[in-house]
Amino acid sequence: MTETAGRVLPIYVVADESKSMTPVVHELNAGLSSLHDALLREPMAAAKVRFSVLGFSDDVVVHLALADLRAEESLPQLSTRGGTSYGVAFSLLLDRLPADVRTLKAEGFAVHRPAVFFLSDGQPTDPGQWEEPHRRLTDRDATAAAPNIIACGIGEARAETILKVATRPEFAFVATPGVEVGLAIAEFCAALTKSVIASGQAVGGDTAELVVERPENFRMALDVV
Amino acid sequence: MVGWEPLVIGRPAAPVPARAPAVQPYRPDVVADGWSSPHFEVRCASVRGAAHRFRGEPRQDEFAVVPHGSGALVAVVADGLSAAPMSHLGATIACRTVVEYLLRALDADPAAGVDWPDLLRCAGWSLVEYAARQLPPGDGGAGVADPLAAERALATTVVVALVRPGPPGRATAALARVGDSAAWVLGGGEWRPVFPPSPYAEVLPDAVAALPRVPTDATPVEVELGDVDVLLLGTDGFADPLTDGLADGGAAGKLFAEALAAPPPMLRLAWLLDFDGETYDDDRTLLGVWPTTSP
Repeated sequence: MTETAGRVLPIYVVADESKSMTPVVHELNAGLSSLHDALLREPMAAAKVRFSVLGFSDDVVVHLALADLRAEESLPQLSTRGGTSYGVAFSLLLDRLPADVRTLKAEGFAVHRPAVFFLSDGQPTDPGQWEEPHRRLTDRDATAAAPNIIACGIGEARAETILKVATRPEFAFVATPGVEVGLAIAEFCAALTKSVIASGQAVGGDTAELVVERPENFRMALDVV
Repeated sequence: MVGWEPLVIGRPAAPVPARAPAVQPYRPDVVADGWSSPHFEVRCASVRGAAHRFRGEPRQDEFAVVPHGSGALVAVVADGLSAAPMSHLGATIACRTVVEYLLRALDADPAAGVDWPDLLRCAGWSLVEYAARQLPPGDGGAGVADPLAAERALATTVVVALVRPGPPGRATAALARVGDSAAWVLGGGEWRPVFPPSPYAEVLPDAVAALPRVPTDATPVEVELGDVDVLLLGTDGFADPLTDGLADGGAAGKLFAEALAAPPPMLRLAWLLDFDGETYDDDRTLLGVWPTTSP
């Protein structure tokens, strides 16, 4: 009998590998490493995740693709080179996400909407060019597997840019000026770990209205549960 | 002779310890329940998922099923959202409010229709009042109704059925829901979803409606139960492996179709529901109502 393989969440860490990241790239590597450790301590959470790591600069390098982290000895090390082209990262995701979802479905999995964790320390060096692939990537009519993008800006990255990258305002994080960049990266990785492990459902919904007034027929069943 | 080890469906999960739930009041890992009335046999079970067991978090699912003197029964299943830290209480309060509301309506007029949108609004409001009375000020308490804070702390799905007996072996049921908790009529080995399945999508939905929100369209669904049918209400912890499996004729659908052809022993339903399946680590609740053939 064919049997469902379960449900998986594809997660993409898309990290800035531009030259300016050089002083902090080891912090990012350490953060990813502790994420790996945390997942290995929660095997049933790890079972639900397929993990990809992409590093972008003037080009984009796939360091890890759809990995089951229970089977990985360690995570790849990010390094630095060149500029900060957001466009190459979003173009690659635009190719890769639908193909990855097909691959997982062919393996028998039901697939959660992918999550992209985007981290940059600078303004894009391809202004006017990254917006179109980003728009197509996040348009759920154009890309059925359009991801939720959680964006984190550190260093020179501006809040308005990070807000444009994130798919919801509450998914945008910008390090407060003056906060040590290494600390901001550690917080980013902690948030990533928490969301990977919790994989909780979002509260709310667009087609439902909040009850804001006491209905006339209301009676409290019991004061204390 | 079958042992007590959980059945494996698909791939087995890595074994993890079940840690005590770190909440007050105490909340048991498993609830198994059932009863008979002149018109119905009822079985229900709620089991904590592997993720909550491992993290020492409470079972966030809840159910209630209560007979009324008219012969009708009220059944309700709720699933507190993981994102809301006290949603196990939200699920319990919503169930109790729904039961109280429908019993009161049946007392007033057993044959009258139910104002379903009002019922769901009252269930939603019960979370708001509970939060205002019981939660610490930072969590939406301090005596002031704050629906958004109640949602953050207590949000829960709910699926409700009001079942009225017909001739022996038959019954009619009206159902309404908020969120992704599900219901089926199972008969002759066939699973018939009460609520229309969500349209096929490339990826699974990433948000769920929940009380204290109420859908703009709260139209109830009416179903007829015949003498080979059972009405089932369940949370997504059961519905997900079932529907994922149904796409390829999977084992969960067959196993439960056979096991529920007649009312099983109470503990057997709880044991079945606690099956082992990798990535299916959510709480699971299933409630079944069989119209009885002998009056």
